Amino acid sequence: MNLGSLVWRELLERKAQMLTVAFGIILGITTLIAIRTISFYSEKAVARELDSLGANVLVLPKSVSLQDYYAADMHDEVIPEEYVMRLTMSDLQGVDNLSPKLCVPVTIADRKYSLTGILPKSEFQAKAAWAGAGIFSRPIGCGAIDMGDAPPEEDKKTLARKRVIKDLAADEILIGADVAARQKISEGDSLTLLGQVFTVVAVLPETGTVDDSRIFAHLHTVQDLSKSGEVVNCIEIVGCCKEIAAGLVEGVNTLLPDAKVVTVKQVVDTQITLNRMMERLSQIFLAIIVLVGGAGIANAISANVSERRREIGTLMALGAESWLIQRIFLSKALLLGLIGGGGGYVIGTILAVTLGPRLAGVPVMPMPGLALWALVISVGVALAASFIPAWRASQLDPVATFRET
Amino acid sequence: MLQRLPALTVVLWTVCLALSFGEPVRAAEARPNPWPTGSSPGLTALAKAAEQNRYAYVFFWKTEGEATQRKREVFDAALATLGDRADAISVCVAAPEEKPTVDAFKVSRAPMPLVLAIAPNGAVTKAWPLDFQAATAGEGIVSDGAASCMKALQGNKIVLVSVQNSMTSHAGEALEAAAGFLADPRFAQAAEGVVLDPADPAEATFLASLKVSPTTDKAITVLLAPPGNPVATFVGAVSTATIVAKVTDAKSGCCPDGKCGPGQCCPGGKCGPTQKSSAKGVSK
Repeated sequence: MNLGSLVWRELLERKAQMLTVAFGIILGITTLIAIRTISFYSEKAVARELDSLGANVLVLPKSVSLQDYYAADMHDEVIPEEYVMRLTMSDLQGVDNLSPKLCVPVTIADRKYSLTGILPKSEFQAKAAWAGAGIFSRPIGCGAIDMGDAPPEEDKKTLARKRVIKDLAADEILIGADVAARQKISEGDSLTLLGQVFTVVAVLPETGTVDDSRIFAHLHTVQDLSKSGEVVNCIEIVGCCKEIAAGLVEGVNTLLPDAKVVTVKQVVDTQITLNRMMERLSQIFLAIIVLVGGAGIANAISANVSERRREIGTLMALGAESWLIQRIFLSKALLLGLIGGGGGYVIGTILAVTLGPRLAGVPVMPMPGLALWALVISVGVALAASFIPAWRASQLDPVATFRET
Repeated sequence: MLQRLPALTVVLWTVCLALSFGEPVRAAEARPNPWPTGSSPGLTALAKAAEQNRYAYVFFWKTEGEATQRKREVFDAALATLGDRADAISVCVAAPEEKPTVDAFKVSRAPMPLVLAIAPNGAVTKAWPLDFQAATAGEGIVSDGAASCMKALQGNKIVLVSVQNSMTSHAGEALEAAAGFLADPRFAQAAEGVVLDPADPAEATFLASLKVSPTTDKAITVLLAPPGNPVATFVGAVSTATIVAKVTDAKSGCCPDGKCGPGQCCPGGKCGPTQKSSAKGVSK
């Protein structure tokens, strides 16, 4: 009988006890992996969005609590669409672009998606020049200047990046990458939503955000089909950084006192706070694993050593060295750690990938790098916790153990 | 001979102007009526005001309530102070017969009551959503030059404003450059030219907003982009190539004013050297 079979038989001898210990470790590692995976992709999505949008401002209904920037427009509260005109016709400086949105649920082949009404720029662009003669004294905005002669065929896919589209007919829709992939929809196809037939004019490139699961249509069409009235869920403002710092948000607040105005910086701060909370939570779980898992393993190995005193004594009397006795118990702990770490990583990853998009609103992918991390933690805790009982076992006097019987 | 030089310059300048701009946009020039008659009461009233070269102040409202009534009283009182310079027009956006008027201005979703000041050429010179005040009513009446620019800008066109007269130097070169730009097939449909006399007192306020001195001794060409951004100011001689370069640069560049913007332009707040203004001979 070699060391491997000795350890394996020892493990199987007390199945319930070993399963309980292994389950404790798996549970801890599962939670740790799930939290870290979701946090990672959430942070990544925020960083990507911030990088692509720059400074932005969101106008929301007062009662909406801002938990997640991506889902900021997915709520039942509304604000009047006329706010868009108020913003457009105001003398506020630093408003580079506006994107009002209204979301209503739609079902395609038993799957729910968000039909998002957006207002093309052509609907309100000219009104920016209604601000009177003072408009000529305004400083140039921060974005690219509209020189009138836009290319004849606008690439509607830029909506994913620019948040604003120039023109969109009442019967045209833009499809998010995820919707297109799942429903096998491509450009030029027809799709019936809320009783109206639409033509798919573009499939948007993947953004890694909730926009991938959206279908974009003209705001007024969505309002009519959903009978929502002349309202929107949110207005996204592409603002100039400098003007935001100089009080654009205060200006919008004064103009729209009945709405909540937040900057993406605030949103990001909220997200960062949430991520920090998740980080702390994962640290707490780490501590729990160390304490509970470690204590469980230490307890199990100690009990095991007590129960096996005679067998240990016999082995030592037959010439087994202290190091062999130590290796038996440490190997047992190592196996428990490997099972706990591996199982925890697999289950935690499955949970993160399936629950992550619902909890954080971002697509989550497995993180193979965390497997090593999970194994190191679980094996480390298991070995550390069983070191003293294993050392105590190796120090047993064979004669003394025989006398005990 | 030297004594006749100013008179000769005026003649040459006028001839050059007429030749350069096929249809020069000049202040108070006869223009076609921008509004159709008979399609709706509002548009008919607008057409009548334009025909008489008067401004029209349109009071758009949706429901007859206390707030609307109060604003209408303010509106009527303010229009009385403008005398025969402006006509008052009332349009109920909910009335089916006014649909053509509402569609013409796309104000069906605008905050009401809304007051628009409309120049005889059809340009909306000022909008007062919700808070029309008598004290600011006069701000809707602008100079002919400003109205011409606004009309083009609201049509999503870029505008080349040539500020010059017989006393300004490089007037010919500036006009030639502007004419060359306006004749360029890439910009012909999306650009308009407006000629202003810096010494015209009626245009003083507009010129001041463009930061052009009424006593300038050099011809000045200002490039305006929608909604009303002065993209570049060319002082003195300028070439068509320079104007084209500036327009191309502004269209493609991310930092038209040397400032970094969000999103698609300069993420991270750093402008690459190739993205900055590359037009030469541009003073801004």
